[in-house]
Amino acid sequence: MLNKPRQNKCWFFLACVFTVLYSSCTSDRNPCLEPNISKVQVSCYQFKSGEYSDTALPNAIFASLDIDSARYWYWGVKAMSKFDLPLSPKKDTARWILQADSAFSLIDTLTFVYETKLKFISNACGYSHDYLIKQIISTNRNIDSVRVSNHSVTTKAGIENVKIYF
Amino acid sequence: MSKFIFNLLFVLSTFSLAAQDRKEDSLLVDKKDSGHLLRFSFDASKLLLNQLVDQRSVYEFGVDYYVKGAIYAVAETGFGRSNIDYPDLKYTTTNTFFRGGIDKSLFPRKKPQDWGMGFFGLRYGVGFIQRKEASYSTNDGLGTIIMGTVPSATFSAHWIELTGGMKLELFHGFFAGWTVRAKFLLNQKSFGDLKPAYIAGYGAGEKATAFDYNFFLSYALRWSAQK
Repeated sequence: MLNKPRQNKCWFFLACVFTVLYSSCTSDRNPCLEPNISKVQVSCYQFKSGEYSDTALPNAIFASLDIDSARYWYWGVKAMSKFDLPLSPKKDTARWILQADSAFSLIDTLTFVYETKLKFISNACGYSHDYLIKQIISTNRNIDSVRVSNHSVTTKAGIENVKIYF
Repeated sequence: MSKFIFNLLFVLSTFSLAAQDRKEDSLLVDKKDSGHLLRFSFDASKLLLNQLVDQRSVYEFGVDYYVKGAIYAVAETGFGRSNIDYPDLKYTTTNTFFRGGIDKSLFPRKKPQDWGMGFFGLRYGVGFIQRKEASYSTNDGLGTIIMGTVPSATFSAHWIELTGGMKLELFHGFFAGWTVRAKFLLNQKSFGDLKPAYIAGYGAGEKATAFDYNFFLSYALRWSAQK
């Protein structure tokens, strides 16, 4: 039925070789296309005209008291209302200082108490750590109150974890 | 007008093709006299691929047997390994696999000795996977590297495949053919967190759908049904 001429058989083997060569070129590790570091997203709110609304801090400082490399994480950033703070998988608490306006406002301290959970993202991205916020403690010099809105800190972007009210 | 003539010619050509089909049908081999075929195959393309890719290897073999009415029973097996050696993730897996199913020839045979075929088919596949202890490192984004290990594990993979391809008889009893495969993994969740990057016989364990190909070289034993 399919007794093809010799030319067709040559094409058959050429197709075989090219397909194998193509496969060998596409077998490297895929690029990691998703975030692989979990950070706490902190949002700032202010009570205005009977309701709480997003408020941008005029000249904010967020600095870690525990992690040397995050000592100047946000330093004098202007007009931002959302901040992403890293946690250390080696610890179970993290202390941060917050100053809404570095020129004159009082400094507050935020203490996050959390659990760490190992998470496999993919073979392309490897492993990462997620966190579960158990408690948050703050001073109230300038901050009115603090509330955990989502205890689970993952690599998913745009999920608010903590609300800070001024 | 030219469009009408073209359409007319096209319709007439289909009539002539139908007439040709009737003539050819009369030449078709009697199904009762179709004989027996048992064909042994191995995937030559994977042998070449194993030489070109360090990260994984696979060896695939197959047997198909002509049942009747253009249906072939197919059994395939193989084994392979993968060696993941990334800066932040290292582990090895080994696995064997088995596939069983049928192929249906798309074209009727015209002579008793005509065993070449274009076909499509269906398979059920199962793989038995062993993953050795994996080591990983994570970066918390602050310059801290944390290293750890994940215990070894064994698990099975189940999938179904849709196949298509062709087989040509190159010379007496020796065949070459290709098969393309669309594979659908049935139990990906049972792999746990660390899904194997490669499962021989299936493909990427992280993906619920995989595509693959084989270039089989085969030898067929044939014998007549009549004595």
